[in-house]
Amino acid sequence: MISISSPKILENLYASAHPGWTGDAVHAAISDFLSGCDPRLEKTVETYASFGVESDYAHGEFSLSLIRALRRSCSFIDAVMLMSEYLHDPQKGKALILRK
Amino acid sequence: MGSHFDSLSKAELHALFSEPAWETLSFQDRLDACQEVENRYAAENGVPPCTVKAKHMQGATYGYQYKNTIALNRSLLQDGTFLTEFTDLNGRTQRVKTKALAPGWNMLDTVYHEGTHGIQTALGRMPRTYITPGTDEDLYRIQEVEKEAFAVGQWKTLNAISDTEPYTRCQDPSRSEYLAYVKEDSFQKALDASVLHYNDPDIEQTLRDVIRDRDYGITRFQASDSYQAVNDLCDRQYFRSYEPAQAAKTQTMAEENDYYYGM
Repeated sequence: MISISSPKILENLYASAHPGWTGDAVHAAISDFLSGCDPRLEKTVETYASFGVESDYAHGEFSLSLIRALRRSCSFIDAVMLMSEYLHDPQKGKALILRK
Repeated sequence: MGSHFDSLSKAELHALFSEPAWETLSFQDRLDACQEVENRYAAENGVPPCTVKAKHMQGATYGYQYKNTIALNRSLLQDGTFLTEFTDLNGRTQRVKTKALAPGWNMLDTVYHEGTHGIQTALGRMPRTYITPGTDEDLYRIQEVEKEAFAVGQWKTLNAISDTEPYTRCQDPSRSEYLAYVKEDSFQKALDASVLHYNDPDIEQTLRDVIRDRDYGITRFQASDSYQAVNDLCDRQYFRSYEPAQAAKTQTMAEENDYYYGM
């Protein structure tokens, strides 16, 4: 679990990446993400939510920049979500990153 | 489009995609094995086979189908990696190779998947409206043509893995990697996510309605919120029918300058 100062801003940023989703769906996705996010990503998420700055984070064979490039320029938060999965469980995370 | 694998039994042909055999095949043999699978699959369905080619692709793109061609990721076919070029946060261009999960089995899955699009195209079952993965990954996964292509690719590959164990004479190490991929890329997961994202328990039917209505030029008044949301997404994305060089796909695909269906 991670705690950030401006979860509402994070929701707004995430909503802009998923314009068709309902507000409740975006809220639920961000709540689930924050409660399950690997603590090693806390600073990256806080920096993004507070200043809109996308910083990189690398672990094992992936970085956030690489995940975004692999996933057809997915949103920054989607890449962080995938990295968090990879940190928790490398095999599952890799399968999600390389999903068809 | 004949291949020198045309005398193999189906199980022997599929066994070429197991890790012990795949690792020993040359690039041309791998391409030929894919062509032979496509030849047989198209013949079983009474349609002309697509020509299988290797193309440079960006990122985790396995392949795509356009006109009567199946394009496979050259890097994946060559050495089992995804070749990704991107600009890092310092503005430097990076070229990274990422090892794929079960490259042989995923290649077989891709040939059946794209071969299914070839059959859909040949039989006139391919709608003009198509949700790209860049628009919404879960809607992309549950749309009818992809639902069928994913199911065929995964089902035939899982069967091939079981059938080829006597030929590989050992437990294929890439088997568990392929199973891990299938588990994470399931239709049900994408459907559950879409139900939640669009607050519509019948999102699969809604998506079907949007695609059909758009193809036939039908405008609905008093459409549901989820119908409207999906329809708006379609408005935002580049349409293959109007703009073949979709931004969401790779430059290679854009060069084909025609319709394609990929994964």
